Amino acid sequence: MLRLLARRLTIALPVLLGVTVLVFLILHLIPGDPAQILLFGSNPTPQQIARLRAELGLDQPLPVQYLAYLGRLAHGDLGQSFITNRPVAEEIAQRFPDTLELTLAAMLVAVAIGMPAGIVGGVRPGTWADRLTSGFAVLGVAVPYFWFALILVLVFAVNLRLLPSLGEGSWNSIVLPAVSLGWGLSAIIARLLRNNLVEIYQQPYMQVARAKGLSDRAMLYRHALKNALIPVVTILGLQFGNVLSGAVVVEVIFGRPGIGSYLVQAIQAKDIPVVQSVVLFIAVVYILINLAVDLAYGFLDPRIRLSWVRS
Amino acid sequence: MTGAAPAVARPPARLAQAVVVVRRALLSGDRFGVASVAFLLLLVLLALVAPLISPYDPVHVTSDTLAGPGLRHPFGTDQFGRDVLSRILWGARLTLAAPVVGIGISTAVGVPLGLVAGYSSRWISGLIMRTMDVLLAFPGLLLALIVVTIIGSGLLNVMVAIGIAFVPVFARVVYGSTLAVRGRDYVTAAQSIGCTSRWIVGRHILPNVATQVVVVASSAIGWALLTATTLNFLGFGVKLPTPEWGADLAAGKDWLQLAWWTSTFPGLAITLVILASNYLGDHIAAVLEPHSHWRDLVQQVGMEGLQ
Repeated sequence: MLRLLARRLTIALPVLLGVTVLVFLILHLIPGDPAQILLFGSNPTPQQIARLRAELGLDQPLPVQYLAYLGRLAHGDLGQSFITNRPVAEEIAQRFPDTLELTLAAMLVAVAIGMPAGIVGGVRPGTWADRLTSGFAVLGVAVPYFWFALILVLVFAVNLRLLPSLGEGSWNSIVLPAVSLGWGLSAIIARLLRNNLVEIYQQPYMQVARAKGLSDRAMLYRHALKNALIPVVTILGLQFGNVLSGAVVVEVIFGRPGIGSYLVQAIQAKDIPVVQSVVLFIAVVYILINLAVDLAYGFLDPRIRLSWVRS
Repeated sequence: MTGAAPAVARPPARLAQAVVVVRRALLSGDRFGVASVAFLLLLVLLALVAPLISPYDPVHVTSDTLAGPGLRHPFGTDQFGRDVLSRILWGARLTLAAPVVGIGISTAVGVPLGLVAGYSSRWISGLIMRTMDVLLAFPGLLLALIVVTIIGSGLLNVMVAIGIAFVPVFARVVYGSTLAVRGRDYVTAAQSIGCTSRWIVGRHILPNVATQVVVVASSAIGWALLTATTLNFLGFGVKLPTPEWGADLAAGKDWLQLAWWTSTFPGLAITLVILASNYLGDHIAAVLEPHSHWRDLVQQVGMEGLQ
């Protein structure tokens, strides 16, 4: 297992480093003088610009600046917002729990809807239940989640008055955001699980299981589902980053104060240090999750573990 | 073809070949696939003739605000009294153009990168592909947001953002196929008779990766449309009052309680186009590349689902 960890890390570390390079370059890729871009909107005097340039080392060559940037990152210094003057790290630490809550709730919704739907379709392919599930899966990936969010608000908050539409506070304020964010993923899970199950039920070991008289339930849980779930776990990991970036939009719609709405405000206000750090943060979380998923399913499935050791 | 003369294409033959492939892709019996093509073609047609058939001026402000759907305004009017149906017809132009131009950009940049990476020295190919790995480490929407941050908002910039977000996918697919093809006998033969690298890549490798590019491009359109409308929804794209579905949906969200129709019809329009593009993409993929593994990569960038 340690060797696997080392292998995966040797792949992930250069990518992480590359991500920091790209995020560092955002400021320098924007046309214009970085110091002036950073002081955007505050009508800076030449002295202010000169001071900032010296402070951030913007007069140094790019590689030197990059190393200094890495050094600051290593100390947990993500810079500060040029609009509120607050340290970005503090702001992220304060807001991320909210985004994480939304993301996890959305994944939960996706699993809670997608798994039963996929099982229903996969166990009895060709029936009306299967067709219903497939229809749901097709629609689920086509309906844009920002529109779906509005439909949910219209139905459950405006017309039925069952759930709050905005903000935070009461426990049920997470329901609509989580459902609108998790719905698309639930459709992916349903389709994937269904197709896996259909394939697995044709395998010889399933015919043996049937021949020796196992109940439907035992066949599903003991033999079929275990194998069918491996790709689902992979997809959950791969999609985590997309759910996280989808949270950006959902937070804006529902007025939730997470890092997503923070990012959008920062882009609108050209608050570049905030944009850089939030983007870096999301990318790093995304990479780490994928690493964890890689390791997890290597751990879950001996066949994958073996293939890694051999390669 | 003999020798290493400068590449002179034979357009009529190429074209005929392409038409045959497309016809096979479209008319192989899947009624959903055919219906999707028909729907998308109809929509493009409606967008083109919008000035002729649109019942009202899409940006003309009237006093007839937030009127419900009825005979005069089939889809109602918005908060400025503008006809929603007319805005959808006109909005189809920019809404549909954005993903097409965006994917065009990704193809134009990503395919050469993949070819070069697949057919050059380890060093150059390493440099290109590791850069692509870094870009793939960002969720697609996030990468598009980064680009918008760098080059600013506006519809053209949204198109560029989508284009860049999808470059790594095209590069990686083409790189993989190029590696597979470059070891074939006919490539070795071409090398041994002294063909230049450019000739080999253009005449022997590109035609072999072309179908995969078509498959990826057609499956990417739905994702690109969703990302474009998302960016417009967030206000990084068109400037109001220019009609565009994502921006109109965002404007309608503030009037949800009073007028459901201002956001519902743009949302429905986006959904139908994504539905049709996904069907078309799946269909083209099933016909052209029944055994390929491009889906894994597609899912990684998040074209499906949240996209």
